Amino acid sequence: MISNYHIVQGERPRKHRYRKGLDATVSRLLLLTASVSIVTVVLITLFILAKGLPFFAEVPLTSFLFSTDWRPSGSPPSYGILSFIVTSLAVTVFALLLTMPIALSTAIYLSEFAKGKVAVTLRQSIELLSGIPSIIYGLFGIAAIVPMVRNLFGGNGYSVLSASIILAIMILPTIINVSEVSMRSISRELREASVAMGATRWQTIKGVVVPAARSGIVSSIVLGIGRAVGETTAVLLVGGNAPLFPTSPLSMGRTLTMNIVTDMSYAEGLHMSGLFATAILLFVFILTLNFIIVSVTRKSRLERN
Amino acid sequence: MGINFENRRRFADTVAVASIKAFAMVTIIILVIILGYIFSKGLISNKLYESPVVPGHSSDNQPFSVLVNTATGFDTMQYQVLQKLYDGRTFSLRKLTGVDHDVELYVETGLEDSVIKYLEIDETSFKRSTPIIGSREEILRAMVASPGAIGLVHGSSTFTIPSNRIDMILLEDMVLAVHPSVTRLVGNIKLSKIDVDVVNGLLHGAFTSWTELNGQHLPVRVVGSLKELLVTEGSVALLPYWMVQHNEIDILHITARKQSQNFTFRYIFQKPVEMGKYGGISTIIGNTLLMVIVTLLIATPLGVGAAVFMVEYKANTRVMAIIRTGVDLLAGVPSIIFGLFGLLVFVQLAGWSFSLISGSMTVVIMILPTIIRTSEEALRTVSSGLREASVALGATKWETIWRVMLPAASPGIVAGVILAIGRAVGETAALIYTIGSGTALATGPFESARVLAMHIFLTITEGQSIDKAFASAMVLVVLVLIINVVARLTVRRFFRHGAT
Repeated sequence: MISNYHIVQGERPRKHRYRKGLDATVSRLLLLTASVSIVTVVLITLFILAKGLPFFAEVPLTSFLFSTDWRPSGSPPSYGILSFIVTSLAVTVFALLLTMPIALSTAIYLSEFAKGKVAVTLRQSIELLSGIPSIIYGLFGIAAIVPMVRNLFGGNGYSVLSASIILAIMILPTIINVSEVSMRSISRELREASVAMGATRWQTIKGVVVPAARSGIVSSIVLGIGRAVGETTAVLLVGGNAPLFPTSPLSMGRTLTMNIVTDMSYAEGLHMSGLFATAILLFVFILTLNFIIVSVTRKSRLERN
Repeated sequence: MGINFENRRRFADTVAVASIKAFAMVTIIILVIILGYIFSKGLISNKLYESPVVPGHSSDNQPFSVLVNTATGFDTMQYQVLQKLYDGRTFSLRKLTGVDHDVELYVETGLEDSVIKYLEIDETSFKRSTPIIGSREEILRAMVASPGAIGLVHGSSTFTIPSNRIDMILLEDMVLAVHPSVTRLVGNIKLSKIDVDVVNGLLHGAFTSWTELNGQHLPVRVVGSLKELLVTEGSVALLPYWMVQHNEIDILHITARKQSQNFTFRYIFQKPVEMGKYGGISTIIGNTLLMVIVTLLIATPLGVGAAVFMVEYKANTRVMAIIRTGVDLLAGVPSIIFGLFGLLVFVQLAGWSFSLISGSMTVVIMILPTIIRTSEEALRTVSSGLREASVALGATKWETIWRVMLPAASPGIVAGVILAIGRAVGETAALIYTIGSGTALATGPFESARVLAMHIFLTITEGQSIDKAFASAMVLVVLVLIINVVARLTVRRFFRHGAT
C-alpha cells in the first residue's frame, strides 16, 4: 500500500505537467475552431470587396445603382442594376404579403390553441417544409406554379408573381417558428389578466399576445426578408430571368442573386467585377439585416433579464 | 343593447378563431401538395408523344413482318422509326426506348429489295446500316442472343417463333393524309396535329367541320383513296406512309398522352449516360455521399470545437461577443455568396478547380453555424452537476469535456449534424461554381463531382427530360425525409436519456 503510494507520488509531477499542458493546448485549439466563423465572415467580405470595388473605378456608383440599363456586352456596355434591385424587393414584398396571414395564424394557433395530434402534425409539417431543398421548390414551381399563373393570369407564367409564390412557401417556416417562440415567451399573467377582464380569445390575441410579441414578429419578418432576398435556385427557375424593369407582377424579372449566377460562367473583366459589385450590394443588404436581428434579440434578451 | 353587443363580440371571436385555425391548416395542405406532386410526377410520367403514324393501324400489303428481341423494349414499330434504323441514321436504342443497347439489324435473304423499296431508302444508306442477311433460322438464332436485335422476315408465310425472347410486333405505317387546304395557315389558325382519341371519330364521320378540331371553316370529307384526296377540299384519308411520302402530301401528326412508370429501382443503380440524359443516377448518389462524408469530416470537429469553446470556456466577454457575432452573421449569409467565396478561394486561389474538395469546403463553411448552434444547445442542456462532479474528482477541463460533457451531449450533437447533412444534400447555389458537373464517380478529392441537387438543377436548365428531373427529385426528397426522421428520433432519445 505504502509502496504503491510512493510510485504514484513519483509519477505525479510528470503526468500532471502533461495533463496541464494538454489542457492548455486544447483550449488554444478550441479558440481556433471558435474563431473560424468570424474569420470566414471577414474573409468573405474582403474577397468580395477586392473583386467588386475596382468596378467602381470605371463605373460611377450612381449609374450602377440608378440605371435600369444592363447591357454588359453592348458597345458601350452599361451596368445598371436598378431593375434587379426593384425585382428583388418586389418578390420579397409580394412573398411577405402572401405568407404573413398564414404564418401569423399558424404561429398564433400553435402558441394559443394547438394541442394533441393536430399540433404534432402541424409542427412536423413545418419542420419538413423547412427541410425541403430549394431546388425541389424550384422544380415544383416550374411544373406547377408557372403553368397555374399562366392559366389564371396570362403571360408566359415565368414571372415575379411565380417567384413570390415559391418564396412565400419557402419563408413560411422561418416566420412561423420565430414568431411562435416570441408568442410563447409571453408570461401567463398577461394572458390571464386579459381573460380576467372579460376579453374573448380573439381580443386577448389582438390586444395582448400580438403586441407583446411585436419584436419577435418583426425579427421573424426581417429573417424572412433575408432568406427571400438571398434565395437563388428556386427564383432562378421560375422568375423568367429577363434583365428588364418589372412593370407588373406578371412581367419576367431578374433578382440580384439571379444576376450573379446567370452571367458568372462566362463573364470577364469589367463584366465579372460588375457581378461582384452586385454581390457587394447583396452582401451589405444581408449583413445590415443580420445586424438588425442581432441587436433586436440582444435588446429583448437584456429587457427580459 | 348590451346583449346585442355581447353576441357580436362572441360572434367575432368565433369567426376569428375559426379563420386562424383554417389558415394554420394551410401549412399542412401546402406540404401535402408539394410532396404529393413530387411523388406522383416522380413515379408516373405523363408524356405527350407526337408521331406521324396512327397508332394501331397497319396497311394490308406489308411485304415483311417485324421481329424484335424483347429486351429492345418495343411494343409496336412505327414506320418512321424503322426507316431511320435501316437508313443507318440510328445506332442506339437509347433515344427510342431508353434501353442502353446498340441496335443490330437483321434481314431475311431475298427481302433486301422490298425493304429498300417499301421504306423509301436508297441502297447505300441501307448498306450503311449494316444489316445481317441470312436465312430465317439463322436470323432467329442470332436474334435470341442479341438484346438490341430487330429483324425483318417474309410476312406472308406463317411460322413459329422458337423463343419467348423474340416477339413479332405490329408495324404501324398508316398516316392521316389531308388535302393542303386543311393545314393551310389562315389568320392565326393552322391545324397540324390532332389528338389520338379523335382519330377514329374523324374517320367515321363524327365531325362535320374542321372548326370542331380547332381548324378552319371547311367541311370534313373522309375519302378512301389518294386520287380523291388530291381533288377534294377538306378531305382526309387513312393512307400508307410510303405512298404519302412518295407524293409529298400533307399529313396531320397524331398526339397522344402516355402514362408510364417513371421511377424504377434500375434508375438508382444505373450509371448516367450522356450527362444524365439516359441511364440512371448511381454515380451521382455516390458523389452526394462522398461530398457529405468529406464535409462532415471537416465540419464536425470545427463546429463541435467552437461550441465547446463557447459553452465551457469563460473567455473575456469581448472575445465571446465577437465569436458569437461571427456565427450569427455566417448563418445569415446567402448560399450564392458562399458559392462566390468558394469560387474565389478554393477553386481559383487554392487551385483546386471545380472539384469535390472545393464544393465540400464551401458547404463546410455554410453548415458550420448549424452544427455550432445545435451542439451549443446540446452542451448547455447537460446538467452542471455532471461537470462539477468530474472536476471534483480531479479531472482537468479537457478531461471533463472529453469524458463527460461530450458523451452526455452526443445525441443532441448528432441530431445537429444530421440536420446539417440535410442542408448539405439539398444545396445547389453554393455548388454551381465550385463542385463541377462531371457525372462520373469522383475517385479523388480533386475531381469534378456532380451531386444530386446539382443534377436536378442541370437537368432542368439544360432542358433535358423533366421526367428525369422529377425522378431524381423524388430520390432527393426521400433522402431528406429519412434524414429528418432520423434527426427527430435522435432528439427524442436525447431528451429521454441524454440530458441528465
